[in-house]
Amino acid sequence: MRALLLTVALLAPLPAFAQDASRGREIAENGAGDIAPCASCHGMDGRGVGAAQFPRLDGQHPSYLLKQLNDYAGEARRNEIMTPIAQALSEADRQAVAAWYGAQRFGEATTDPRPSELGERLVMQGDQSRGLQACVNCHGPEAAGLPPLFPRISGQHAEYAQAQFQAWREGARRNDVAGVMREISGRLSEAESAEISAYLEGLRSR
Amino acid sequence: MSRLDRRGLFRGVAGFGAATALPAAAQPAPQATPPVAAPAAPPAGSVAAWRAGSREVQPVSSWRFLNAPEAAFLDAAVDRIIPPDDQWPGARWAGVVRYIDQSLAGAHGQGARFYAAGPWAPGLPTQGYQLPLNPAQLYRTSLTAILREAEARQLDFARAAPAAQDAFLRAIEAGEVDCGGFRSDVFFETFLANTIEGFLSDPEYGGNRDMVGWRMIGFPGAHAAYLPLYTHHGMKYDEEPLPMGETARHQHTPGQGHGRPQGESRRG
Amino acid sequence: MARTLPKKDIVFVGFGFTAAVIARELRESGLSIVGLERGRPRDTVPDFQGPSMHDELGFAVRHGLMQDVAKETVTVRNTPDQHALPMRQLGSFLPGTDLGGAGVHWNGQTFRFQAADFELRSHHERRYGRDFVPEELTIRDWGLTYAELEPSYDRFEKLLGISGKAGNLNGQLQPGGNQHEAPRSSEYPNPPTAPAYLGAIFAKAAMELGYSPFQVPSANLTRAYTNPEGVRLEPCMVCGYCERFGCEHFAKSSPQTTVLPALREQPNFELRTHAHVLRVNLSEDRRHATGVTYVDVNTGEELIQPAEIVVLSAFAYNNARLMLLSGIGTPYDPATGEGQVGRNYCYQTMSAVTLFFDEDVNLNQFMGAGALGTVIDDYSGDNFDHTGLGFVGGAYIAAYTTGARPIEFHPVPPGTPRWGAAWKQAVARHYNHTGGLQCHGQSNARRGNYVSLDPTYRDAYGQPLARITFDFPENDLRMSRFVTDRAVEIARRMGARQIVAAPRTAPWSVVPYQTTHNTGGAIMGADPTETAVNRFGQSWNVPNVFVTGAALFPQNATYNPTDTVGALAYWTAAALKDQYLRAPGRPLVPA
Repeated sequence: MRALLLTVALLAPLPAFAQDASRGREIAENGAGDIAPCASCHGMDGRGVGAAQFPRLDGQHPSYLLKQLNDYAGEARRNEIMTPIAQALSEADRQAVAAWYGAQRFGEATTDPRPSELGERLVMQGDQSRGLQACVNCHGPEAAGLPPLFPRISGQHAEYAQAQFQAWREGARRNDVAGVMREISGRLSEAESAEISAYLEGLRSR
Repeated sequence: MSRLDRRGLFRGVAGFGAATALPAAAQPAPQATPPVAAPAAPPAGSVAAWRAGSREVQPVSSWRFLNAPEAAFLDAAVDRIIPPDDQWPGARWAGVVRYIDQSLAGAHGQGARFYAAGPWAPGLPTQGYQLPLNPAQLYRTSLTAILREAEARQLDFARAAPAAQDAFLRAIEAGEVDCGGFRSDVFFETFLANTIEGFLSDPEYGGNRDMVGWRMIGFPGAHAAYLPLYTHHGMKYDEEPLPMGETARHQHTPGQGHGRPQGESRRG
Repeated sequence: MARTLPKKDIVFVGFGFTAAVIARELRESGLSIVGLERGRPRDTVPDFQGPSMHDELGFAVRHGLMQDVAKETVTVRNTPDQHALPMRQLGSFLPGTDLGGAGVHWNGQTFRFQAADFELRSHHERRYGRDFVPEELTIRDWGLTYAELEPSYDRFEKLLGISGKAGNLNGQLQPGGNQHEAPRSSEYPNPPTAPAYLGAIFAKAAMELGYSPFQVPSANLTRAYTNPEGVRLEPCMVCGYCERFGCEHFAKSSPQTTVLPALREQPNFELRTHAHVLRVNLSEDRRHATGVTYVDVNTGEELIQPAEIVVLSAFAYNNARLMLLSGIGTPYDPATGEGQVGRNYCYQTMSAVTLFFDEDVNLNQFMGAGALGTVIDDYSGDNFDHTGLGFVGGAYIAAYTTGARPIEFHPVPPGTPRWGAAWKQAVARHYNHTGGLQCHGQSNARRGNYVSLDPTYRDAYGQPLARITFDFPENDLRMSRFVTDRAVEIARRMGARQIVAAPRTAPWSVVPYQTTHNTGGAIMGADPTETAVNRFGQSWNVPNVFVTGAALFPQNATYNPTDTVGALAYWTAAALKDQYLRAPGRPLVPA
């Protein structure tokens, strides 16, 4: 029991994000030291570039974004572009960047809705035969995120989402809550995760 | 012993579905914190708009079960049960009467999950509700008697001063109105439970407008997954609550409005 | 005229945890198996998916997953001289309905009973003398020991994937686990939950007082797990919609998430839903069951299902009712103390201490799970010296964080008006800063508490309802006062601004919810004249009828019953498989 309590006491509190994200804006626009500006891939408004698997960051909660940066800096999430960037940023700068992009209101969807019976079923309802639950159980209504920790996945670039399924499957990404995304991804075929990704990208939400 | 006497003997009155009554007595109210400045143009129908001075109550174009005098009585009564204050709108604004109306018109009101076979006997408080009336019938029978009683007292309840309204509600609560073989406390317990339900249930059921009840206490609503957040002991959680249905949500804009909408203070 | 169906080897009446476990254990028996479930089929997908499952009003308040009392309820009274009346709406307890039964909407708090619980009377007479047990109590030994049942506990916990920390492995005490538990043969299959805030505050105070707090063994899993049936469960997301709800995450152990997927693939198994069993059919001499008669609730047609073995696997008192409706065994008579079926109906002696904290203590209990709790076992059962205390039994004291859904939970301090401005302000002030300690207490049997058939009221199919006669024994009220006082001492160290204790008081009321731990009515034991079934759950009178579930408990122990219910299912399954089938129709214990 003592060990348990100790574990709990060591958990970092969630950071309080400053209202003023000016330092984050500075890094996003001009970079920091040798680090390229975030905007060169993600845009100042965080819209990203689908074809290059640069994710949309707009509409994400700053806590989620900060966790990703911290995980890139550590071992839980590996990416050849993001890992060195996150490692080069100070803790305070990671917070500042998360605060900037976390303050970007979710923009319009970048694609038209893509009807996919399979994608919609897996996102909204799940699949009993394989023990797959609906994505919206954790990712919130219309998969628009359940703040502060479960990211918005609706409207996300399909190419990025598909790459994440791959990363979960292969273990390049291991920063999920209790291993749930690795579990789920491992049970989805590539074709299925592509359907989900396409459906999510076109899913209209608030 | 007549049914009326028997029921009156016991303090623990069994209303329909009313199982959580707590003892009553006087206690000084905690100080209300001053209202927070409202944003420039809060969305219509939001708690923020209410705080900005809007007193617009969502109109009900057609009642499904209640008749007009019943609805008028309940509309005034619920706002004495959960009155508006500086911080938060009351039950009337929250649409609690619409909740009650829909509930009475629906399966619950019509006796779903209610064992309705006789013979009927008054029973003991420990045996629970024993009237042959389903919730809709209980409301109709009771309200008929209560409105008649108000008339006899020359009380225009809906327009009466709050103190007079409270006095009449306390009389109903104490069982002083004969509802035709049973006392009005049976109705009151049901009504009290339903009013609280209408203030705190998902907006899908017609009440809890703009999730006012949830905002007031800091309950985050239907969409929920708190692993590992729950181990952040004592954290202040102030995300915008989320209802089951899409229609009830307004203007949740992650990235700008994490947590409460600007201008709203959550007591949590 | 009822239509007769082709014969099956074994028929189950009611399809929840116990039926599913036994049917699965009989996979290689060669028996043809049919499960009859009066409710509808349902599964994690699509039935329990969010957000519609997260509907407090629909499920927690209006009881969407529970037995429909419009069709069948029970009648209730406190004493045999009262006139029983129907429980017209659910209240004190919430039996489940539909496939999986209460195993779908339970919390998942998964405790074993203590070794002494199985020999309750002889244990107390040995330790405290023959005069110690109060006259009013009719507590008994089970005819079965903890050591005999231990392997079955182990199997059930591995089926469910219980998340916990062992405190006693084969007699060796383990730090972090329950220091008072009976010896376990193996560690829990999954690690324990991390405490919620309230639990952490409780644990600190309890340790300061010299107690040994630990995390409640939980059927809300802490990690993904594949059980021995090859069924995969997922980790609990701590959503706060667990008790009274189905789990959308495949994370709460239920028949659906642990054994039904395997059972469905089993060639000798057939499940029929919407099949409401009216009675067990007996031979003329009432010594042999020929099968069951049931109604197809969708058409009203009566059907006869002949079978070689009948297993009564319905909810606790429903098993006793089915025996009484079918004429299996002699009905218990509280006036004479004679008879087999219906006796020793027990419940659970619950009490609570409410703690009102300052406004800066954010308990956030909406971040909850059904079995997310921190507990001390120091005052359970006979874990403490009862000399001079004047009662038998105890209670565990736990700080649970199960969800704080607001219609059910909006506490205000005593003295607050019941409605109006002051009430509203108090609700806003206290909602996130109020917690509770639960004293989950033993329920001892007494002569006047029993299950019988109601002489007046009937169900939708014209059959007499079960009549429950129950009140708390004076012994149990004394116990509740004692343990609640101990909980208050802990509460005082937890830093609350105000503490309100509510020890259990009589009379028992059907109105406020207490627990769904109804036990007894078809109790097991060694004496064929005073128990309904032998130690294997086999009817003394009709040896090809077996009974499962909490109906078998001679009295209820301190703890939540499900672990013991599941263990008994494995125990009975082994008896069927390894003994009964070698000589079908024979009593496993000579009467």
